[in-house]
Amino acid sequence: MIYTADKLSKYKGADVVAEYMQKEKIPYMIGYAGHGAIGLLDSFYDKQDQIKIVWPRIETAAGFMADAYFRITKVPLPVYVSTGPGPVLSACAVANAYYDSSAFLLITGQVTTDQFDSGALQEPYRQHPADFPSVVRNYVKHSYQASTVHQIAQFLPKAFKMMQTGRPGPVHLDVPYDLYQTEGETAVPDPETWADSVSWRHGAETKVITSILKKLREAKRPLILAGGGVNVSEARDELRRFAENMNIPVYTSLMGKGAIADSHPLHLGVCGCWGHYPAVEAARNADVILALGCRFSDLHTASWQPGFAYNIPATKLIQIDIDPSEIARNYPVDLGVVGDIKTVLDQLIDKAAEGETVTYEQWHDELAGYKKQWDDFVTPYKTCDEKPIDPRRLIYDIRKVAPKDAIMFSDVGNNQPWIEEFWSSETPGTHFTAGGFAAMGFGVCGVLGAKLARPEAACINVCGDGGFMMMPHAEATAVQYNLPAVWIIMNNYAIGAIRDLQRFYFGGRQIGTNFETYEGTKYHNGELWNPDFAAMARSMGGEGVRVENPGDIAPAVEAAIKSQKPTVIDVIINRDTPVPLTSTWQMPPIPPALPTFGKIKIR
Amino acid sequence: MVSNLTLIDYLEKESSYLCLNILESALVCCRKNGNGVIPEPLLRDLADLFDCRTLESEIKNLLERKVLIQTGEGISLNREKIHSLSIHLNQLKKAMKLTFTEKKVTAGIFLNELVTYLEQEASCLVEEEANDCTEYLLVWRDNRYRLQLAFSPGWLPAVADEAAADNIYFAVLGPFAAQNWQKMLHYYGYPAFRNNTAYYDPWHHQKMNISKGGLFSYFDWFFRDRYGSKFFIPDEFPCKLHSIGLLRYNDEK
Repeated sequence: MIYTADKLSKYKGADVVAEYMQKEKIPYMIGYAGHGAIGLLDSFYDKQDQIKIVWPRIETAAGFMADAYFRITKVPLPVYVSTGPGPVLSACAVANAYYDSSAFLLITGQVTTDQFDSGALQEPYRQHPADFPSVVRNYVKHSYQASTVHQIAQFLPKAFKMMQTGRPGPVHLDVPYDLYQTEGETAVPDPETWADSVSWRHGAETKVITSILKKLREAKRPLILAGGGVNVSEARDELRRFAENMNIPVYTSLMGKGAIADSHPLHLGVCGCWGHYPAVEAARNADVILALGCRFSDLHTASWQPGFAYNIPATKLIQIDIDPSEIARNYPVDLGVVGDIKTVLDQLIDKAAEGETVTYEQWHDELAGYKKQWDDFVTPYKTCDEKPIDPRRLIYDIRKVAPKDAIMFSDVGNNQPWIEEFWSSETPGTHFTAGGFAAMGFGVCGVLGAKLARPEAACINVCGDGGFMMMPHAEATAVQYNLPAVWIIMNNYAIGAIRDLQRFYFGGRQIGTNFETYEGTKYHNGELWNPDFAAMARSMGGEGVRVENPGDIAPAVEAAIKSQKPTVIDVIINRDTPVPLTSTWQMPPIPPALPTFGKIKIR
Repeated sequence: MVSNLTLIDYLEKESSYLCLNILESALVCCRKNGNGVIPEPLLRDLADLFDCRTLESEIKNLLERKVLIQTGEGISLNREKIHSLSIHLNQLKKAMKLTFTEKKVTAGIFLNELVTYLEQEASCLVEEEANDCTEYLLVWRDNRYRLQLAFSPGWLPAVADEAAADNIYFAVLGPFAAQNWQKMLHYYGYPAFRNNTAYYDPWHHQKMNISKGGLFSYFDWFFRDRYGSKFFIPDEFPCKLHSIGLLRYNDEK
């Protein structure tokens, strides 16, 4: 009994949850009702002025919204679902959050405690009684299953502590729904006592800080790699200050995009399969890389093939990560440091002030050459008047009219690398995407979570027609809750990224990737077909426009942002324009592709 | 029988890449196997690199001078010539001139500078063998690397199997691009060749290899840091890799 100091009272399980959420100052609970959740919802009935219930049209959307909310605010929201299908549908969102070190508390309903192993409606019982925890255990930091009201009280602060400390991640709490309405003797814990007062942002030993600085100062071609960990740790300001103090160029992973303003003179862009040439070329030529919260995934590293993105070794890698399991996972390290990025950067800034700044003049000159080559390549697309619309023109025009601090959620599919390469994230911490689990539909729903978190900001989702159609009801939720997000659909009548794999990896044999009428017995004989997305949006009470001319992009986006109404802009893009490949990605056993921009000079 | 002096005179006066290709290949074969016979496939490769008639004519010439001998097993180097020829070819290799924008060096100095650079930059690198500034055996991170100056791009396949068996990465440096080295590209279909060998041609600022990164990355850095240049991959190389299914030559442009 850990709460003996507290005065015990009689509480219903649902009241424990509601009161704890109130103590955590949680503003929203998102989810979808079912018979296994209404017992919980009932305790929020009288708290709606403090905790608003947001109810999208499917459990996955609830998870995506909460995930997005955490990415922006670092506040983990509870996501409630019923039993059976609801928890299973939420599993995709939980995984999506887990892979990207985001968090929310998934509260799943379970059959009642006296029904365990009965096979009652929606019980996962055939391997183990009431065993939903086994379903999600790969995708959460921890999974709890309460068997008493008191355990609910015990688990909640642990869950919040776990979600918010160290490497964030979602936590699962499975509650047999009888416990919601059963009274038990317990106390509702105080977050200050049990969760909030944990100091976890640990740094590195002084000698390690000194060693890092020495290696960087002795280097001829140093780089700082900002991974997603910089955003997770909210170390963006420290990153910029350290880079400026040391005069070291910065590049990012996809998840690190926006850790530093794209227009910052030290910024080189994103390194990855569809990254920026200056970043990729720099990465393969660097002699020392200081990696901050980056796990070196396949898309970032050209599937780890030497010469395409990295040459580690010979490049010396200093890898800092709060999760020791990510250090030296894929590349050997010259120095591995377990620590919080923000804290370690603070230490580095302090210590760096004691030494001199190296100019790295030759290195900066070399990088300036790479930047010019890339600029020369991309500049013509800013004014490209081709029809169907070139995706680059679309993104440049959105940037032209969107406020500097607009929040950009890309979805998954080709829209993601298009945004990665051509969206300029000017205010740090405003670019979001699903990198690790890469669930389609995350951006479509996530933009609503963004609007909950930052109602005053312009929140834009650029998605594909495939991703939008997975979660079209997001528009209805936006209308329902007055969340004036803007969805810009890159409509190419296909799941374009996968179609491109067929075009370039499978000899152009397209099957199951084009949205077309199905004629006879063969794919690819019919006509391209999609619903009228603009009309769909209007039918749900929002605004909807279709854009086919490049000149209409900017006015449409500007009007959508100003309208303060949920708006879908359906843009017909050139479906045959591939995203420029600046390194590569391999689907073994198919050999890797050569970059379409930039020769491999070092292998 | 031709004297050593005559042979050296011949090489210096009549020096041609073909002659040097043949003699270097013959020396490699002597080192590799007991009878020193130049295998037929290697002769065919040399014929491909130059042309069949010229090769036949040069072999005939070297047979007449008794530098090469014809036995029932094939053509091999006259054993009496091995030592002096080896010394002399090494001298010629070392003396090959490399001209860069701001610097002129000999190949021997270039290789020596490379090895020195590797020793400075690649921590824990050990020089296990050094032979007259033309050949080094280095050990780095439990892998062995043989670096060698060469005239001929032709004989590398002959040592690939042995290199693979001994787990050695074999890098040759020479003026290969001027000698139709692209004719050797089909050997990248063989795992032992593609995994264990590398061509570098600092004369033409080019290279062909599917190394696995590692120490070879430092070659590129050396060339950049010391000579401000880069080893480029000739266009034929990725094309060939594409045709043998090792790389996709991207048509996404």
